[in-house]
Amino acid sequence: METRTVTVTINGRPYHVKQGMTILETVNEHGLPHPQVCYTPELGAIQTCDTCIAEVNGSLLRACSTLVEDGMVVELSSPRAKVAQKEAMDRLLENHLLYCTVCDNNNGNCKLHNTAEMMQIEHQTYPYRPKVDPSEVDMSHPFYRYDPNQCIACGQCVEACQNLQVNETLSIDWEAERPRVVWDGGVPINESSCVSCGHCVTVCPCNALMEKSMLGEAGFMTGLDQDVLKPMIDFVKEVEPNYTSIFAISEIEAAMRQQRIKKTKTVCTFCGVGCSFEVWTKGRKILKIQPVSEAPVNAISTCVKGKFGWDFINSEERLTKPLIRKGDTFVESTWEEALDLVAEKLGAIKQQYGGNAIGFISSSKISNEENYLMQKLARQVFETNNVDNCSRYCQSPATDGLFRTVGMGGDSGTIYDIASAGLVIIIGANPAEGHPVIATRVKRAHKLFGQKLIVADLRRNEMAERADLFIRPKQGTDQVWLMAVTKYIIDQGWHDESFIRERVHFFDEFKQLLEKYTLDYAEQITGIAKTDLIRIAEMIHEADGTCVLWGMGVTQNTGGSDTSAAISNLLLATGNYGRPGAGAFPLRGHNNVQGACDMGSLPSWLPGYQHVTDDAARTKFEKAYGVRIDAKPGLDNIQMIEAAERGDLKAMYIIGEDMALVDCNANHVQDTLAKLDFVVVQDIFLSKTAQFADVILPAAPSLEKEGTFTNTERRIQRFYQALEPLGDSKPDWWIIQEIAKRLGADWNYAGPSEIMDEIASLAPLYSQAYYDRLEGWNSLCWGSYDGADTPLLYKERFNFPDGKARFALADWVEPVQYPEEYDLLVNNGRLLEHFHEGNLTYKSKGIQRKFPDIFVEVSPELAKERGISDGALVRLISPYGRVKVRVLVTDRVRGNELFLPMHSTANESAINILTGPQTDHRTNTPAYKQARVRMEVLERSGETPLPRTNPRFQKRHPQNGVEVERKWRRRDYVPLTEAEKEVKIGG
Amino acid sequence: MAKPITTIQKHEMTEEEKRAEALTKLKAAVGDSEEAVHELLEFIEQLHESGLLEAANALLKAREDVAKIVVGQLNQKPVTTMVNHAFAWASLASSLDPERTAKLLEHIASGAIEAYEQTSVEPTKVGLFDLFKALNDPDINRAVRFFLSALKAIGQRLGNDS
Repeated sequence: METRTVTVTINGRPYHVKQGMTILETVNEHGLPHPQVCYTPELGAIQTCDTCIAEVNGSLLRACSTLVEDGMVVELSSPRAKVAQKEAMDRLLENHLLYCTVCDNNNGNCKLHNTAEMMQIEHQTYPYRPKVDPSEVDMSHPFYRYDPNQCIACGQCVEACQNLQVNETLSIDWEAERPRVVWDGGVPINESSCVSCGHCVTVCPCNALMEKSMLGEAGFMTGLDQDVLKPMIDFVKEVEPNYTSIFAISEIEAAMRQQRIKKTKTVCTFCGVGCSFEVWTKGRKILKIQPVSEAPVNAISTCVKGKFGWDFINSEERLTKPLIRKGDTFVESTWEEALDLVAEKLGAIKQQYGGNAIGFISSSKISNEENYLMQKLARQVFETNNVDNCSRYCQSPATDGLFRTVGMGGDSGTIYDIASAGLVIIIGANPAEGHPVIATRVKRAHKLFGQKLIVADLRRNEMAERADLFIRPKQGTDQVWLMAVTKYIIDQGWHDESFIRERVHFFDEFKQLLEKYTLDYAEQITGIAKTDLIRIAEMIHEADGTCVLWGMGVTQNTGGSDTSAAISNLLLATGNYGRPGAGAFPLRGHNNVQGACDMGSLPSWLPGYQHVTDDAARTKFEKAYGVRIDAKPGLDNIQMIEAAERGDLKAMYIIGEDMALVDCNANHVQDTLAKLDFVVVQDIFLSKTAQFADVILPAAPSLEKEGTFTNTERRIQRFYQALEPLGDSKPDWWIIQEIAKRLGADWNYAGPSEIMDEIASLAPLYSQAYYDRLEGWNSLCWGSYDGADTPLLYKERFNFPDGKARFALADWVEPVQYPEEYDLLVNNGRLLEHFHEGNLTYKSKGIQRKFPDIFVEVSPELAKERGISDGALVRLISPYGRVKVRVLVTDRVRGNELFLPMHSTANESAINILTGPQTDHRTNTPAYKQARVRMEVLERSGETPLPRTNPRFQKRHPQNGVEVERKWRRRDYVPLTEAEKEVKIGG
Repeated sequence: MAKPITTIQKHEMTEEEKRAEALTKLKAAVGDSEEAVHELLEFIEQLHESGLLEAANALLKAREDVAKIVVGQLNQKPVTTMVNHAFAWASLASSLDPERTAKLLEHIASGAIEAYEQTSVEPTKVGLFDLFKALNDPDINRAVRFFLSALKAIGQRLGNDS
């Protein structure tokens, strides 16, 4: 598509710009300074502040909402425009006290301050008037505060909450005498439906909304006692020189702050979305997370964990010294002693039993470089392919399904494709809690731009509530309805015939396979009404681009791989690959699931998805590593445990994975770990797995080192070191290298960038991922063998030698059957506030306040039947183990389906004590979602396990964004633009 | 059989070990910047001898109280008025052309000195007639013109303000 260019004259100079842009966008693109207090690009023009008014063809209009037209003449600083801008600013400043020097937001990026300074505001035409008693400053929320007396009511927070995060909590009470922001119509923040995503704080152009972690910390004089600070503010106010003098002083103070506050770009580690942002630190203290527009995935978006969940970094419980098991206690040791012991023991086991007697578990939390070194350690130093990572527990089936059909194991597009799709189908995933920032894009497109949404899930999660169509298939039957819908589409002739003819193999065989999957059959197996199945087919048919997002509700099943393939088949049949706004999106759960796999921390793949059976690839690595590499794939996680059980595997080296809790049938795993001759665990906390170790090596988390992560979009991003490693902890790459060196390897990496250079030389997909290419906010989506940035895969060819995709031909695999006594299905998964088993997020005091402990969700029907209520204590018993948890009664679950979040660090309540040994038949991924239990009631009622201040108990207050029209309708609002009325100054 | 362990036997450093470690670090730091440390010591010695160190110490110890007093004093009306005056004068000064101001002040000063010397040697009384006669003197006339134009300018501003 070609966009037309128009010519506009701004301040007497001609500018050639794309049609459809606003004046303000044009002005900003060309770096012309112009006031715009209420404008944030991500929110669009909300038109509340009037400070951007310009003279356009002789009329005063808002630059933010006026589109450029050919021949338009714009004066940004004509006398009339300036008068209007000044008046608009004066109206804002009536609400705000400029005590910048003693304000924690005076960090050079205060939009209000900078605008007042740019406009050379000398005096306040309307004197400042506080709105409420100072006692009404809302400090109730654990993470942020709202000060109505500093709020200029620009409404960006409201717009962000309503239309970007789309949690729909904030609004402005435009009809009040002095409009201010309210939560859920007027309750304390902590008692509202706020999910603590932080958007409102991020977009606030002043200090009305601030992170509590900044208060009294950011400035040189802001930490003073209230009885000094208050008179000081009074003094500044009383003196009231012209503002330029105040600004000069506060500029100096802000400049001093820059010296003390360190701002470091980092990449979030709480899910696979790959949000990046600045972390502001003062010494070891984290002052705040500051999102920026330049961040390629999330821009200014965050969730509660990314914005506020970093307390674990400075936790007292961090491991700071190597620990060696001596008798029944761990004893602190030096690095020399610990590393020597590890090298000696692992070396001896290799000598005696061979390298295949050792298993290496790498981590989806550590960097690409560290994953690469871990597989290199296994393959070069120990000459074994026994290396795997935690994607085995979650994502391998999705990868397998994609490998079989389209040839690459990753999202086929980016977050921008999800945002621009005509239809999004979410299957067995809950992005509103598991991948919150991706969810915001879907929620926004759905609310504002007519995107359609289908959700298939057992549980009525937030996305399900918002969906145009919500279906609840019987557990483990997704493949059936997917195939039935595909068949129906083909039967109707709605498939993309030319796409299939030109680009896909095995269509006839596929059609034959689908014969059985009639609507009747699907209805019978899945329990979904035929009319709903037809509706799904119609919605796909009508949509301009369909994206399918799926998660562990699909993959953690005995037929997880085949179901993933069925999703891909559906997309192939409808031509939804290789075009924007469409494609397959297996949502990676951890920050570096994708990267860990890309790096070859897998038993059958060398770095860059070069298979160990591929002679050419193997030869390349053999040459680089100077050893022979076995052409036979090694053991995966599950097989390692089995081999240990048999006594074939003698030792394990585990980095950052709490496999004693996250592997299925955890009791059994723990017994097996206890049987090993030697276990090394590298972690930042004494996890359950670490408790079984012979040596524990204290590692440094992402904020304390450099590296790269690859997110769910295949996007490679750099993170920088913000803090020194705590105590004697060390970056994982350093530790792995020290072990390798002790075993005779000639490794001399001075840092991660040298490791990446080696990766780039061996893995074509990463061949352009050099550190200088990834500097700052730059990023790169792998997907081409020349290493080029490839945000959208399969534009021309699929990743097979002939460039053609393949329909995967696989029948539905029935879920595991249990004896009748196990009458309840126990679904499990992630909730918003916590990450994984919770080793990190339970360390946050604020999160603890909102979500202190785990619980099991029970449906109202079942609660009634068993005579229990909120807070009841129940025992859940599966054939493999038992847990004891408190009950939360909610209609998010129905009938005999329970939901037990995975956020437990204790055997007493960990889901995987219950799950069984069944796995996906192709990838060995545990069928976590197919667990069944019976329930014993221990106490019929008790204290509700989730505090009443958790947002799940509150009702949202949706409205159409900030609703500025209500402001314009106020009797005391005098328009400054001329479309409405003549300008009148003076209030 | 490796049972799970949750106890960690921390190597608690003795006071002596801690001190030794701190000293080692300190020694290394001192070695790295020997000259600066010497200068610093000299500086401290000077401060001590002059009694400044003691005063500064006391001030630091009492900083909370002192801050309260200072800010309290600052908030007195006369002080804020004074500061406002200062700002007003400062802003006036900043709006003038320093070269011209300097020239003007120089003229006024030399005029005043000359006048002072004149009045000390000519003790005669100035009558009304002398005044009119003096207007004919080109120098006096120039000075009167200066003051009249100044009065006019001030009057105009006053008119604008009201």
